[in-house]
Amino acid sequence: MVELLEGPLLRVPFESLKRAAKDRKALIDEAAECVAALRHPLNAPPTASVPATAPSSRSASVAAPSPTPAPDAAGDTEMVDAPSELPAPNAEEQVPDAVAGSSSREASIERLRLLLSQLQGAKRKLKDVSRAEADDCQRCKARLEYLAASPKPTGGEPDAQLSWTRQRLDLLLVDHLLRSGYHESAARLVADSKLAQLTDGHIFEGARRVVGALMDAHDCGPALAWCAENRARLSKAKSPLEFKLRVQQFLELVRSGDRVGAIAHARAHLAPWAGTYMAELQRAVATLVFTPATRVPAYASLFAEGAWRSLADLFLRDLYRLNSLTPESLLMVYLQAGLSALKTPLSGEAGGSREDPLRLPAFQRLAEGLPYAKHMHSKLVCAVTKEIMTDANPPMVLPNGMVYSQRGVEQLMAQQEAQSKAACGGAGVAPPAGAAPGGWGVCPVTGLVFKREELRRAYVA
Amino acid sequence: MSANQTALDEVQKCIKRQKTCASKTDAALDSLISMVKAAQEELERSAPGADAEGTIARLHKSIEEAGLLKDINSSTKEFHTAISKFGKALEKAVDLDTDLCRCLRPCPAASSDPSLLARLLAEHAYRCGAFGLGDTLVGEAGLMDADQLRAPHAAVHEVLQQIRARNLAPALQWAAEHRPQLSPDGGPSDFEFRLHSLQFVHTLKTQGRGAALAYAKAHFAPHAARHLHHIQRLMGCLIFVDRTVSTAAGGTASTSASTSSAATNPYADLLCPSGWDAAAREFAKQACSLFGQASESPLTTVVAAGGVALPALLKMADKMEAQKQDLRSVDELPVEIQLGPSFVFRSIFACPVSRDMARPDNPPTLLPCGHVLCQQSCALLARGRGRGFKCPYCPMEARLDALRPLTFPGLD
Repeated sequence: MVELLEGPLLRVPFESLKRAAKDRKALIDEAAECVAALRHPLNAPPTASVPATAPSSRSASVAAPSPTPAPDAAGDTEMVDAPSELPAPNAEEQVPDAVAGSSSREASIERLRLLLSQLQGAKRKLKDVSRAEADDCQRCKARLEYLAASPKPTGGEPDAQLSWTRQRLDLLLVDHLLRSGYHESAARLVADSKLAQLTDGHIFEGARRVVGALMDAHDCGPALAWCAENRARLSKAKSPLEFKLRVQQFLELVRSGDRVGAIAHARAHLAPWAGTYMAELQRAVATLVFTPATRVPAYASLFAEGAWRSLADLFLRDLYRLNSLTPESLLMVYLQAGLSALKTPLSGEAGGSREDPLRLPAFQRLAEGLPYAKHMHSKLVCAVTKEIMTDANPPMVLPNGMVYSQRGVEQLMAQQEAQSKAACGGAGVAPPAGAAPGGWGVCPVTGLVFKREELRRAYVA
Repeated sequence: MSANQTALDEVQKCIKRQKTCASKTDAALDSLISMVKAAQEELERSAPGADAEGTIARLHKSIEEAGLLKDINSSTKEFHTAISKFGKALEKAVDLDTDLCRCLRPCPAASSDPSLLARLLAEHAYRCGAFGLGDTLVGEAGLMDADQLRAPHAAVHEVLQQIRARNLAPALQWAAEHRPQLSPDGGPSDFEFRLHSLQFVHTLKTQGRGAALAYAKAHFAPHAARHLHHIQRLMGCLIFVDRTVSTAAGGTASTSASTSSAATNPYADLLCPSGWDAAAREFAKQACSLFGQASESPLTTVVAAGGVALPALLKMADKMEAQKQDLRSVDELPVEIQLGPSFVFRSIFACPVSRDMARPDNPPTLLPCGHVLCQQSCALLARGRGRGFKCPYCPMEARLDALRPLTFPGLD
């Protein structure tokens, strides 16, 4: 059976594993291309366009980026282009002379040195990838084992759901604490309950610094660094985060009165976004005229203090999306589901059990705006035994309309019998006329004395 | 085999393939690097004008011949195959794509006041005895009323820890101090007696029959009136205690041995150690109810209800979306969710005719035949028929002036 609610628990490490494996493939392909480039003799594409044969230009080509594609550049295109450019310089190489020979040796050594550093770089990066892959595999395994060890109860015992939740709740709490920025508390709970493999604290390690810098230091630096690291995926998701960060930097320059700096910043960092965010860009740049003291609401709002909080929220949204975390904390999802399922128009009014969470003001506030549960069937709880009334333990009506369960009224009558035995006719309630011992009782709410014969069974569909 | 087990097997394979792939790749890269290094050294040693291109061509050829890149690629491919197989197995075990947030509504209370949830979580931590966590959270969230949250639980927790450490003295003292609240007549409570029975069994096991008998003489007398039968059974334990001890010592926890000992020892239920957990739970429950609090952490209760309700809610959301409706805008859920008896906290009467919940202005009423309908439903049924009407569930006639309004008394 497919487990419906546990998707997020496994999605996070599994997607991360897939990403790491993809990175591995890309790194290996790059390295393979570097090696494959050896196949082609030294040709130096940069010189190919320059028709000069002078040694000076030849040495310049060595200093310039090598013909082998750099690991971060788009290797494929260069490799496609390379062969077509080959013939011309090759023809020149045919002429062996002493100067060309020695520079070809130098160039080849340089070429190998570059290859070497590329391979060593690949090796180093692969080591990181490998660690990430292994960690994610282990997380997947630990989480599957956790699910196998504590399967979700399906009906069965009435308290099974509660005891399952008792241990499950900690995972939801860690996630919520991390999202709320309570990192110490999250770490503490993880350590106390040994949840390291089951929770995603590692994702929030860097995020903590980014959010801290935004909120406390009003510094976009770490956030921009994070954007740079994840540029490809962010632009694929059409994230406005980087643009907004740049706008904020621009506004800070305007705020500080550095208009020249602001204009330079706008040229360098805002202009590239003109195609996507023209309107916003124009609005931001207009602050060069409308200073922070402006009362024009459209521009004054740009300088509002809440901007930093929204940037942090935007960053977190992207962080969750990139790491396959749910957009909102699962604790909130569970809380809302539970609150609507428990909420009735009578919640919070007198007559409920003290076990009802909706008696507490905090939960009532959380439940504001949530729908009420639907009740098509009656659920009657006996005030004496606290049991739910059923056909086996049906509701019994006292002469004044009070309803208790069958077992409840029996208990009330047995109580009277025991008390009158102990009191021997002294204190206590006097039995009604004509009532047999054990055949009468007292309603604990109204104090009404009732006899067994007066009870009537109610049929509740 | 369960889907979960299949996925576990696949992840094991993934782990293995990952290890192989990583080590093979590393080794291949090492040899690549040393080959390039060797070629580079060769060139550096060579005289100017030597055939540099030739050296590089030879290097390329020997790399090709060693098949290093092929090795890397094939082990990488195997690893990728393992991942995609694992992915398929995983999809059969858990729903990876479902969006659990699709019926979430914005929560104005939580977003306008972040400390609201933080306070709930801190109180939950204190309730569960995680005082370290509670204190850390109170500090991080800057909650001002930490003591108010903490104090009621600290005393309870002290006693609980003693119970878990097999010391019932503080619990017994607490039970004696709170007799008026714990038992209806102010005498020794049932809870106190259960603690004494547990202490008796514990004494019997750890200090032998003499000590246990002395304990019984000292403490059981006040409870004899209400629990005579139970005390007799406890005395039976005096004889049978060895039987569990011997089987426990002899047969090392094999299932057949333990079932046979349970079959032969009629007092196994009294002697089993789960009594301690039960005592701890009962103490927590009694203590919380004296404070007027729920016996279970309300956070746990709500989340547990959420766990039951969520699949149903998600289904509802999908069905409504198919009909171009939105679950997030309704005032009442369209379908009843059966949470189970642990989540019924008040009597709810739903009229079988109108399907409305009874409210103070529309109480349930008892018909002469014993069936119960809402007052408004009765009025509707009686309309146009004078003051009498037929019960919708049986042939009996009822009159509006002969109806009896019912009250389901509150629970506290």
